[in-house]
Amino acid sequence: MSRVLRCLGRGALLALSSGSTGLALLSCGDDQLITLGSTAPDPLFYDAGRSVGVINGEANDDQPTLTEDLLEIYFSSQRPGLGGGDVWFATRNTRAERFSVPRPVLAASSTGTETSPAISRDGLTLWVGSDRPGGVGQLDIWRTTRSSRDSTWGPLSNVTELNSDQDDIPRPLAQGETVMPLASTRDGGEYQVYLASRASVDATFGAPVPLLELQREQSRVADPFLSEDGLFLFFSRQGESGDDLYLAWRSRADQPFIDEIPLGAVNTGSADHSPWVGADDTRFFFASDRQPDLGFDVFATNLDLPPFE
Amino acid sequence: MQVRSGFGRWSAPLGRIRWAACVPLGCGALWVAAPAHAAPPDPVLTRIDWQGGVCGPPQGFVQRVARRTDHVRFVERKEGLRLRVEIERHTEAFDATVTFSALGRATVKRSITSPDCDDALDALALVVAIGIDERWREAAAKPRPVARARRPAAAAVVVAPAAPPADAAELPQSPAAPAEPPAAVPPPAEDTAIAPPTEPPPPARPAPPAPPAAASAPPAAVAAPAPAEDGSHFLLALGAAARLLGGAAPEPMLGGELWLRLGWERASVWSPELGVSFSHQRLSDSVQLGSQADFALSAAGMDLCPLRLGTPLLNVRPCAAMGLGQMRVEGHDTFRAQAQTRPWLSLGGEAQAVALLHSVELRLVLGVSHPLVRDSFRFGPSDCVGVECADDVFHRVAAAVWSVGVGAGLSFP
Repeated sequence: MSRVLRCLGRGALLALSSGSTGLALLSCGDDQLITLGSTAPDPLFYDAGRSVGVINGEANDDQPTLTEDLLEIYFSSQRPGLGGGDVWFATRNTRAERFSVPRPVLAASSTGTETSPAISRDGLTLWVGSDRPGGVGQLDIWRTTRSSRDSTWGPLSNVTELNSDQDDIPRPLAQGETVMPLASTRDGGEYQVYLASRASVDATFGAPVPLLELQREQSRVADPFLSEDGLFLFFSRQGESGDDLYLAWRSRADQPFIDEIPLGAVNTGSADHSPWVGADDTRFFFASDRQPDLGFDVFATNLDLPPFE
Repeated sequence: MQVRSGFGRWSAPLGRIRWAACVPLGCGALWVAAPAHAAPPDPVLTRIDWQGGVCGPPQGFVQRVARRTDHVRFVERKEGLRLRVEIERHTEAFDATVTFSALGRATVKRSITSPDCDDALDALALVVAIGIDERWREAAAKPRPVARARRPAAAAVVVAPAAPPADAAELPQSPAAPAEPPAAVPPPAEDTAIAPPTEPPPPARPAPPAPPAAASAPPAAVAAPAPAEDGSHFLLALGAAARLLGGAAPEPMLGGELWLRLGWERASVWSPELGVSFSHQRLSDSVQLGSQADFALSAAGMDLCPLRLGTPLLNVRPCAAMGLGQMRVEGHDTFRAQAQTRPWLSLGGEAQAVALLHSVELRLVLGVSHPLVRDSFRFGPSDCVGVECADDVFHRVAAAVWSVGVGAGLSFP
């Protein structure tokens, strides 16, 4: 109210000083530019990412994925194991602690190539890409389960409805574990991103649907990570200096993605990819080879991702 | 002024000062010389059926009559004489008619044409005063019980309903009284002019000064607001309107308004009216740059309309107007949605068209105003600097904001 009165007084003074002809130009001089929101999410990162020191070794450590409580981390690593790239994991008792020394997930590793592990939020299902024998072709999506966090993993089973005769690799599920984003070369050429949906956790997935709005000619799009509400998709896109991290968004989960932006705060001149975001959208993990001579390592930072409201 | 009878037309140019001529001509037709009488009768109990709203409420007319005769008492019922007063406004004149009705007597109608309300009311009041005097004299000429007390306050102006007088039935105009033809009323079939008086009329007497209201009127009359001599009076009106506002938001805002108005109705173009209002307009879900914005303007308004162009029943008023309130703007379907409440202050003008149907008032308002706070609104990154922020602006409050309002209300009295 005081502002209004000040405005009124100032307006009256202006009117008196400028005369009647100046009335059209009368203004409080208090006009403001008001921002009602942003058309892009503009995620804020605490920093460009810090190496998760304990789990990173001299070999490539890539594609981090965590349980919802952030107490178990799974990743692919080419450190000495069964061979060809295996799935490793580390644990901690609280979020304030460091992770333990990584150990291989023997049930999900083989002498072949295992890549892109995806742990469920409850930590009881592990999805992995593997070219082990018995699959549909090349890299396939496999799954293993356990009855509790303390139990051992069961044998891997091929998720045939998600696989093709080309490379297919899983990513963490979203929207109540009914939607799996995956990367595949099934349509020829580079990896592209697909979404496969199922009616319930116990149902089988429908055919993967390509996200055509993200495809660019001669550009690899991979490592999709879908937010739990299905409105944000983090992914990596091949650029001139290697992969970069991107974020696409949409207003409804059943609509195409509206637009995408590069995550400049965490991208470097090196390859940055394999994003993973905590359930509360505040913890961001990814892999990068930004450290010379260390190959790919796992990095983490804090994220402020605004809701679409 | 023109005077015409109820069955034909007789006219003569008359000015206000020449009213005396009315007496020996048309008005004198009602005159009957009253014989000398020892016991003056009661005043004539008279009821007015007022159809002259175009010239204001009846109180002004009642006072004018009371100023000219002491022999009248206005009542709400049990009247001996009923006066129906009709005034109509035409292009350049007012046609006014008064009809005298009493049981057992022929109806008498007198009409005049005047250039304005003031003249019409004065002329009719004189005609009525003369007619009432005549009836009073008739009553005075009849035998009358000596013991009856004289009625006080002959010119009492009764505004509130009065208790029926005890002696109403004994008035000469009562049904019990023998019907006698009015001496001066011409035969209907040949009334193309006002009949000459049957007796030489008395000289026109000057109108007696108005009795002091406090001395002659009952308390109710004292408390009632007395209309001004020229028929001016105050009007109070309240109502609601739908209002469309353009320029404040990217698209027109629709809303409602409650208003209260106080007008000084005069027989002149200078009939000022003051209005206050509270309005609320909204624009919801305006799609801008892929996001959506809601605008809500809540403001109190005041307008002053000094002129009334047209008749009291149908007129247009030019007004100066101002608004003071707040504009709330809110973004949604966006990231980092924000809301702000900003002051709203505007100065401008309006044209208000008013139609009065009895006590119902229809009002159309067209206005243009200049907002003193003209904010700009954008959807875009919060870390923009300087001119790059302006690239995302989707609206700035216009320098001239227009409004259209349509509403109805009730007018008092």
